[in-house]
Order: sequence, then structure tokens, then C-alpha cells
Amino acid sequence: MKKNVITIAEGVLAGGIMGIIFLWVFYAFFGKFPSLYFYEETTLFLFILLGISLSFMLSYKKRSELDEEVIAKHKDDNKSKDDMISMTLHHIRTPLTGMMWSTKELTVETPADHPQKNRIEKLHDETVRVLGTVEKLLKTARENTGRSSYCFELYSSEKLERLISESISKMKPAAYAKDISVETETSPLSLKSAKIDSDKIITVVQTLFENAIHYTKSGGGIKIHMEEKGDNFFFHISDTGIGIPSDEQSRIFTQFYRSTNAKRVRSDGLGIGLYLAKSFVDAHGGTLSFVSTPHGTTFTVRISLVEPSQVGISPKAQETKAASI
Amino acid sequence: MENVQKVLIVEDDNFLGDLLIDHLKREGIKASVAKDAETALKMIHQEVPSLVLLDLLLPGMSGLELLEVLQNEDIVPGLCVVILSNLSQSEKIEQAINLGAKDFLVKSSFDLNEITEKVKENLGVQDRSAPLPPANADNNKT
Repeated sequence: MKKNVITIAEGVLAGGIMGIIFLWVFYAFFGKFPSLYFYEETTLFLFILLGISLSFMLSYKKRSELDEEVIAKHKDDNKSKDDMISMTLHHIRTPLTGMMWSTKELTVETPADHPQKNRIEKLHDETVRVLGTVEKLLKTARENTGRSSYCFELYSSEKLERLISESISKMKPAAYAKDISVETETSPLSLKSAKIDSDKIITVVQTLFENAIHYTKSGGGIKIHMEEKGDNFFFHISDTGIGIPSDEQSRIFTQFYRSTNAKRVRSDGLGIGLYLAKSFVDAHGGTLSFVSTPHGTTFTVRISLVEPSQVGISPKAQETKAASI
Repeated sequence: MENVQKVLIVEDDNFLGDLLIDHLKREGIKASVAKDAETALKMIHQEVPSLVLLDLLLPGMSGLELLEVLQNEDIVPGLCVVILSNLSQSEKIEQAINLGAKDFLVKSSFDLNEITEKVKENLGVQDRSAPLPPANADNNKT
């Protein structure tokens, strides 16, 4: 491997040689050694020291450049890895789609009294679950490689509230099935609007609602509150769940991170839901925050609103990147 | 009277292509499969289908490129193209709709019955020879 950083011995040697060469050149031109009010030997020693310092300064600069190169290479490696994961997942998704179609047909066409009916239905449910996981991983890989595409549209506060409420309504049965109550409340909304990608916002709401169901025990409750404050639209979702341990709260939006108590409740989670949700909200120029105690958690999504006359969107929100496979 | 409307499925994956053609035939819809865009173009000339169920990721010419050719050359006037793809990015949907696709179905979000319903629905629109209504891309069930 090519060596790019000099060692101490090499630095001393190079510095010494540089000092001697400098003095020799000086002597050749001026017929004497440079005088610094010391003996000539002292001057020679000072110039050698200067040469050594210079060598190490150059070496340090080179080392910093190398660190940057290593970081850049690391990023490239991660991007290649995400590209490869993306490609693999896409290839897996096609046959999984065929399996999902086939098992769905089988569940519909198999008579209710057939001895294998239950097993076929399970097979279909599991296929749908695996396909959902593949979709989530694909979204993550796209987000990591900067290939998520956003299609922003102007939504009034009321339209945004309807979009979220409809999404919640579809998921309520899953909460009721676990004997978890769902309460929704909307404070009065103005005529202001937000620039949003509706698919991404639905994904954020679904993720937060599904998490609330997963980590709330039967008999618990979920409360949703939508409101406007100043130039912001807020979506709050509170649960009476297990909470996020205080010493792990700083890592909760990290990709693949799952809190210790979450792993105890559900061993099969991926730890990408909140990571994706935060990335999506950030791309809207909004914030995703939370407050958590051992008795429950409240997540808050904040999206900026503009007056109806204002149409411009933030540069980050305008970003539309190339689609991935 | 026999339903003479034909559907051309453009799908490079054998498994998905077979499932789609079997299901459409069972529902009484005449269907054939092309495994790439070039073959699809030839079959559109020869068979003059009423509807093309088009995948976007294909070997060689992509589904969007085929759509562009169909729009520019107007080979079959009023030909209804429905995209059936696993690409669900908003920009792809927008591109396809701008190039004249009638509908955009995300494969993993629909089952065979729902796809067939969409095909019938779009064939029905053609039956009435009505002008094509504005395209919508609300079929990406999330």
C-alpha cells in the first residue's frame, strides 16, 4: 500500500537535510552563514529545527487531507452498498408481488371449510408482510442514496387535516382489534396552506400510528390532536405505551436503532420507521420531535404554513431527485 | 356479441405475465403478452389492442420510452395505456401521466382482481367512445 504520511525519523532526517541544503545555498550566494547573533553552530541547529518543524507541518496537512479522503471513500462505499441493496430488493420484490397475487387468489378461491384454508391465509398475510418490509427497506436505501423523489403540492390546512384523518380512519380497526381506544381532536384551522408530498406525509402518520399501536398495551389509548399555531401546522400523537428510555432517546431516529424495551415488545421490528419519518419531515422543512415518559410518548410533527398568496417553497423542499430502480 | 377488445400486457417477468394473462382470460378478456417494448410495438401494429397494460422497467427500451413513441406517432388513435409497475415514485407517475397514460397502478398495492377491475373500467370508458377524462394518479395505494 502506498505510504502517504511520514514517520518521525523520516521527518527529522528530511528536516535536517532541508536545513543543511538551505545553509549551503545561503553560503554559496553570500559567502557566509546567516547570522542570528549566535555562533554558526547554533544557527545551523536552528535551521535544522526549522526544517523539521516545516516537515511535520506539511505532514500534518497531508494527514488531514487523507482523513477527508477516507471519509469520502467511506461515503462512496456506503452509497455503493445502498445501490446494491436497492437492486437486490427490487429483484426480490417482483417474485414477491407474484406470490402475493397468487396467494390472494388462493385465499379467495379456497372454500371456507377446506382443511388448508387457514394455512393459505397465513401464507398470504406473511407474503404481504415480507413485501411491506422490502418496500420499507427500498425507501430507506433510496433515502440514503439521495434518490427519494418528492412531489410537493399545495394543501390547505383543512385538506391536510382531511388527508391525515382519512389515513388514521383506515388504521383505527387495528387499534380497536388490540382494545386500544383512539381519540381525535382538531382545533380550528385557518386558510393557510402547506407544501407537502401527500404520500410521504401519509407514511409519517402511518409509522407514528403503527408504533403507537405496537407499543401500547391492550386497554390503553391513543390521542391525536391537530392544530395550528402561528405559521405552523402541528400533528400530535400521544399514546399510553411503554415510552422510550431516557438514556436512549437521543438515538431513536438513528437508522436500524431500536430501544431495548421496544425489542422486548416486538422482536421483528427493523428500526427504520422513525428514521424514514424524520427524513421525510425534514425534507418538508418541518420537524419531528417527541416527549416520552415510562407512561407514554407524544410525537409531534410540525409543518410550516404559508399564506394562500405565497406559492414558493424552500430549496430543500423543491429538491426532486432521480428515481431509483 | 363477443367482446373483441384485446389487452396487450407488456411484462418481462414470466411469473407476473402468466398470472396476469390467466386472470384476464378467466374474466373473459382477450389478452397477449409482450416481454419487451420493441415486441410490444410490433404487436400494437399487428393486433391493434384496445388497452396496453405497461410495465416501466423493461429490457432495452423502457416503458416510458414506449409511451413516448405511442404518443408521438399516434399508432393506434385513442389507445388506452395503463401503467402497471412497481416504480411508485411521484415523478414517474407524473411523467407517465404527462405522456398520456390513463392510469398508474403500483403492482404491490393491487391484487389480480383489482387490476382486472381497473382494466375493465378503462375498457368501459373506451366502449362509450367518450373523450378521455383528465388522467389521475390516485391509484398508488399507500
